[in-house]
Order: sequence, then structure tokens, then C-alpha cells
Amino acid sequence: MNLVIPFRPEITHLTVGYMPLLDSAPLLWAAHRGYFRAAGLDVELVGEVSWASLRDRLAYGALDAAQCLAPMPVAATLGADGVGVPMVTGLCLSRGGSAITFSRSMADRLGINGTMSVADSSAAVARYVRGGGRLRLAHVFPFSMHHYLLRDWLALGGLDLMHGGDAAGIEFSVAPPPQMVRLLEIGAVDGFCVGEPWNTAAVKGGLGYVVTPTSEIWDGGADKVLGVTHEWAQQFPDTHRALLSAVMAALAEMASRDVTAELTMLLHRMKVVAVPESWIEAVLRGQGMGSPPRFATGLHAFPRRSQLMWCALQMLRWRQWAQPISLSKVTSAVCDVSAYCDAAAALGFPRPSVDSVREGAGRVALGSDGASIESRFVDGSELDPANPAAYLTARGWPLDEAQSAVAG
Amino acid sequence: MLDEAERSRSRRDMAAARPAASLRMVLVDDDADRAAFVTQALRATGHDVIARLSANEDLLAAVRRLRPDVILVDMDNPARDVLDNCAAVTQQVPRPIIFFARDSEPDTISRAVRAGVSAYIVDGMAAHRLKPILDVAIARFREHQKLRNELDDMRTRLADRRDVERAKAMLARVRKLDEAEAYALLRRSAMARRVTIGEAARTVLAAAELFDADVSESGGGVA
Repeated sequence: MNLVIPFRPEITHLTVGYMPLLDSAPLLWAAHRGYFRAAGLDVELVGEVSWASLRDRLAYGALDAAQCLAPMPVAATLGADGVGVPMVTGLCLSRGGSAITFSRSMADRLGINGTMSVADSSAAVARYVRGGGRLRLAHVFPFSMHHYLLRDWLALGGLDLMHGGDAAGIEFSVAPPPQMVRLLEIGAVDGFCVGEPWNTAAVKGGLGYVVTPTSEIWDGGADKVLGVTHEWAQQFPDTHRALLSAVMAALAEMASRDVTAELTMLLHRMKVVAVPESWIEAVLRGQGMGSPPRFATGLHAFPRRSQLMWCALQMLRWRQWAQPISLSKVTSAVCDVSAYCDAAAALGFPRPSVDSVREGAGRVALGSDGASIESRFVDGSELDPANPAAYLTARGWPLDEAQSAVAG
Repeated sequence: MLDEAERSRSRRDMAAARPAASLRMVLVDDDADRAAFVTQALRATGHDVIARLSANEDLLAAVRRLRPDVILVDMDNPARDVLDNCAAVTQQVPRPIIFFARDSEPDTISRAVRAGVSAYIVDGMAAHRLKPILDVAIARFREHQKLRNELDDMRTRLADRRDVERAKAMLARVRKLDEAEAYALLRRSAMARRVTIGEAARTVLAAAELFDADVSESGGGVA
């Protein structure tokens, strides 16, 4: 690899954790194509079996860095995860990529079909629950985009997920992704929100219908990020930058040419998911039933503070955290802007000119070179990082409660 | 919110005031051997292991039904995420449970993480009550691992001895060496390639298998 990186890693042997999912590909690709070595790093990739164990090993130093669900470093820094070892991220690995799938029988009962809009399907769910129906839905982790976007979609139809009959009508559970299809098959859940290839598998198996890819609910959210502990980032700033630039170079290569065949073989060889190779390839080519993993390209790889703010707001909204949050403090602690900018500069990639945008405002300028990114919510709403209380009041919170929740 | 905080504080005071009462524990471990091993040790400390659950069960329902004080779980069990959810979506569980780390000493936790044991406790239980339990669990996890490693070791040694004997006999036959010379050759090859003598023997046997196959094929051609 022709990668000349100006960093002097303080430590060179790194253990990096990942979850065996299709969107672990950027890390596997960086190892496969020698980007870590080119950055002066000797990286050992370790597959984990649960997000909780990955987080614990990262928090207590058994891992140097890990692929994390985007809300995880926010939850860790707040202490909402029960562990409370502050974490930072300097890189987004993927955005969107999951989908909501219902069992055929539930989809039929609700009249949900492939042509229905997101607003209509969530309205259909609301009618069903208001009519006394019960719904059991699985997602992958309490602090995950899957969980939050599933709830966002349900709330879109007018359901109040926190109180009364609406809340009682829906039961959320967590299941490891490879078990999702089985749970649908035995009737233990009526639907789930999970990444590919499990949506495609449910459809191919004749068990379910894809209701919507989550990128329809929010096109612009970060799905997975590369996380390290705050302490580690402080202690090894050049190692962190070298690591980021290696993965950024891998992401850039994955976007610059068709790597699908090679990537399919790699994912298959690494036993990332136990499905036929042809399914993996179909999903990567966008021919699956859900949504292909969308690896972070260009400035989408920058983990914006406003994206992390959205995550923190969900923790308040769904009562995972009941104390006031200083959003500016938390998001500036979690988002390692300087590490991203240094790594980008070393590769000659554009740097962001701001660290937050109005999420939901459509195409917004972000790059120092004028490059833009997209962020759209299905209901046309916006999250103004200068006025986060408005996000909560728009969702039924009394003004004083909303203001004190985000003022801490 | 304040009410909740106050309630939880009073729960904590009550828990702290209660003298070393026996705790109700649930073990989530798919390794039956180890679970039995750990259960025995925990019961010896005067606590009650009320159930062993596996990753494939409906853990949320089981936690609701059993209402344990402590849940001990093998760290590499996929059910970890399910248990983390019990802790996060507190509305759905009658008795909130939290990951033990919030009140625990970092040292205990990092030992637990290295040993591969995790624990969830009822909100408000004092950390000093959990520590002896964790210590027992960590010790037993390690001991079990050691026993398993020893067993694996013994199996490897037995397999090594068998393969080395076979490789030695084969080398002696093909290269027309005596047994001691064949063994010395095998050992030199292992040292040069920095592998164990057992692995060197298996390489020789695997190569011989290919070689024999070729010989028999070409032999067939000539005939």
C-alpha cells in the first residue's frame, strides 16, 4: 500500500474488536489489504459474540479499539450503559444498513405490503395497537440505532411508547442478529429491526416482509463507529490517528472501485455470517430485500456531533437516562474532531468545516472544500443543534422539562 | 424522577441494613460442566443458585419469573445483549437490574473481564455484597479453564505420541533409518520450522499421504 502517514504510533500492536456482521467489512478490508501495516500498526482483529462483551472488553482495556454501535460511546460517556467508562469516536464506519421486517402473518393482518410508505405502515401499526392488538418486536441492543429507529418509526404513527395502552401493547426485546430469523419462524416475535443479511434471509425463507429500510426513517444517521476509550485516546493520540487513517484509506478504496467479489470472499472466509456466499454478494450489490450496508464514504465518515446529539436525545426520550444532559459537553467529549481531521489531512482527504449540522435539513455543506452530506428525517423534522430542547417539545415534552433535561 | 431516586436510595439503605442474607442467584452459562462447578462453589458460600439458564431461553421472562438478586453470566454468551436490555429498559422488568460495574471496584471488574465472567445485580445492592460472590465465580472460572486446558493438553500429548510413533516408523522405512535416527530427523525438522514435534509428525504424515496417493496413481498407469 502506498500510504505515507506522518504519525508515530506510541504502540504498534493493537487488538481491535468487531462483531461478525457485514458492516465489519471496513476493518476486515483494512487488514486484508495491508492498510494497518502501512500505517505502522500490527492489528489483531478479534470477533466478539455480543455487543455487551465487546463494550466490556473495550472499557477494561482487553481491546484497544472496536467497531461500536453509534450510540454506545455516548451511553458510555454518560454512564447510561451501567459501566460508565467514557469513550470517544473519531470515525463513522457505516450509515443505515438495517431494516424493519415483520412476519408474514403480522404484515398480512396489518395490511402492510411492499408498496406502502413508511408513514402508512406506521399508521397501520398504530391502528392495530389502538384496537387492542399486541406486537412483539426485537432489536439488537438497547443503545443501538436499530432500537431508536424502530421506536421512531412506531412513534411516527402516533403511538405513545412510554405510557398507557400504547406502551403496554408493544413489547421490545433484544436478540443476537443470527437468531432473529429463527425467532420469527417459531413465532416468538412479530417483527425485528436488524442489519443484513437477516432481512433478506427472512424474505427468502418465506417468513417475513421487509417493511422499510431504516435509512427511510433517517437518511443520514451513523450506524457503526470506531470507538476507543477516552483514556486510550489521550494516552495514544498518534496511534489513534494512524488507526483512523488506515481504516479511512480502506473505506476510500471500497468506495473507489467494485470490490464486491473480493469482499464477499473475505467475509465468507472470515465466517462473518453463516449464509450462502451468493446471498452475501447479492446483499452487497444492493439486490437483497433489506438495505445493503452503506459504508461511510467521504465526509460521511466524520462522526458529527449532531448525530451523537440525536443519540443522546433518544436516551432521554425513551427514559434510558433520567438526569439532565449537557449535550454540548457530552458530544464534544465523544466526538474526537481533531483525530478525524488529522487523519483526513494526512491522507489528503477533505476535512469538515463544522462539527455539527442541522440534522434533517437535507443536503448541507460540511466539508472545508464545500462538499456536502445529506440528512433527512422521514417526517421532515429537523434537529437544530443550537436548540435541542425543541426536539423534545416537538415530541410532547413540556417546555420546562425539556429545557432542564438538556441544560445539565 | 426524584421519587424514583429516593425510592432507589431507600431500597439501597434497606439492602445495606439487611445482615448478610443469602442472595438468590441465576447462572447463565451454556457450559453445563462449568455451571455445575461454579454453582457448587457459590452454594458453599451460603448463597442460593436458583436456576441455570441457557442463551436460547426467554431470559427476560425468566428474570421476571425468578426475580434473582444477582445474575452471573459467561462473558462470551450471546445472551449478554439480552441481559443488558433487561437493565436498560427498566419499565419492562419489575426489579431493575444493572451491570455490576457501576458500584464495583475497577480491579475486581478487570479481573472478572479477564476471567470471562460478568454479573448483573439488582439496583441498589451494595457492592461489598457482590464482591465475595464475584471472587468465587472468577476463581472457579479460572480453575475450570485450567482443568480444561490440562485435559486438552493431555489429549494433545496422547495424539502427539501416536503421530510421532507413526511418522517415525514411516521415516525409518522410507529413508532406511533406525528408530533413533528417524526420531532425531523429525526433531531437527520440528526445531528448524519452530513447531512442536507432534505438528512436525503430522506434517510428515499428511505429506506421505499425498505422496502415496501419487505413487499409487502413477503405479496404476504403468500397470
